[in-house]
Amino acid sequence: MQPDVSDVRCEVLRPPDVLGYKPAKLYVHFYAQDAKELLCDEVDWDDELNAGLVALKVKAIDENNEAQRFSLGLRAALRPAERMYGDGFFNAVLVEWVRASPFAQTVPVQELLPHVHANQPYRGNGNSYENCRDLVQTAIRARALELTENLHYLREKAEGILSAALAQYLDERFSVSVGRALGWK
Amino acid sequence: MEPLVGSKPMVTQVAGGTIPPMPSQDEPYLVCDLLLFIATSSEKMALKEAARQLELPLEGKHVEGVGSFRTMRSIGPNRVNVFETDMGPFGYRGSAATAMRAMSVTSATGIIQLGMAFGAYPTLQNIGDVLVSSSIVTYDFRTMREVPGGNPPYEADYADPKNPTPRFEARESLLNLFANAADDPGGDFRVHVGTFLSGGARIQSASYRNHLLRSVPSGDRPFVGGEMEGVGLPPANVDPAWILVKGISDFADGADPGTFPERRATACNNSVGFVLRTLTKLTEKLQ
Repeated sequence: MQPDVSDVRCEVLRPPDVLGYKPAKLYVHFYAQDAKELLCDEVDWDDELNAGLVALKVKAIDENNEAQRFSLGLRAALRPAERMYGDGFFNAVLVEWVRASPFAQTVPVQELLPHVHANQPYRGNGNSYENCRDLVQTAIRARALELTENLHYLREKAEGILSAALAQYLDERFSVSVGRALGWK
Repeated sequence: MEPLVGSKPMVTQVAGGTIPPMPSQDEPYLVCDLLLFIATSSEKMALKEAARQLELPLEGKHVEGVGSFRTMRSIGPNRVNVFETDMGPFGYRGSAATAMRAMSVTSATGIIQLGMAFGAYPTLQNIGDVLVSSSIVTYDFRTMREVPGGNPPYEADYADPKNPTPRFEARESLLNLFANAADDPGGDFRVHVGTFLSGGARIQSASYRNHLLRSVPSGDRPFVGGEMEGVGLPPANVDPAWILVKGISDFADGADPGTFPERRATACNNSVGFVLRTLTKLTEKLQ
């Protein structure tokens, strides 16, 4: 960090497309002590860069933007479970987990859940169900810890951000807003 | 309310009665996890035959405002529906528009485009081998430059740094699924995983095929073949939702048209059979 930089913030920009969003851009703003912007770097969204910025305790410019950023962070964090277990099983475990979680009682997620449908997950005789559920839960809990431990949000703010991020992730995953825009939902 | 964020575990109990009832669905077979896209009558026939052999349902449905589709209900953990498209990406029933519509009405998170492709290497691949896309390169997206005195007096540049020909990655979960099944494809054919050339042209020229293979950057895996519908799938979702699983029906050289119907049937049967067999075996993998 340059010596005269006193604060660094990031900003996610996701311009709306005809349906959904265009690919995300990540801006990193460097501020002087008098809040004057010294520099702004623009890059295409990159999961690893975002993880690095979180590790460096770089917050987003505001809470709405933080929620957008964390929805993309959730997407990256949940991808290993999706890759390992496939879409149908992962969808089933994820939706079941969300429905049973306290997130289901929060406004953003509550409004979305009636439009999200998945099978009951196959439980089998082994560990796949538990392992997949643990991967889902760990991915979401790790984002919660990032908000409170790395970015130092108070619990209530962190809950709001993560709830909005999860809602946005589910919305995009299950094409809820896109379907609504087309008049289907 | 129980804290969402903090030192306490957020959620651990998911057993039986704690799960809220699933909301009722107006169209119970419309919502699904995976979409199968088919584009020709040969692919439709192959799908019917493979479903019959594997004893899977394939029921026609019609939903007002959505149109006709088929449901295979659940194959293992995936609810699967089938949509027909026109050949190629263009038009209202082309792969691009169908992908956007079908994903939004079904909430599907993955699309498997079935059917036929041309193979890239006649000496290394056989008719009926199945190609699985790790990515596609949309070769129509290129810069055409004047070449004074050249023959022809223009050339295609696929690596213009200001306007590079894009490469789109396939869905990781589907790539993982089908690449892992490649060693045991369930028939007398091989499975090749790699990059596809994708564009709107019906290529029947070995010279043009070789020009593309030589000139277009393939990324981190070699080209395995090419086809026409895949180019329409990336716009359906920012996060890649699609994969191409296609049988080799030809080598884009226009050779031996008399045997094409037979080659086409072999290509469709192998690709459809490989996909359905892999999906049915998923439950065995889930312990």
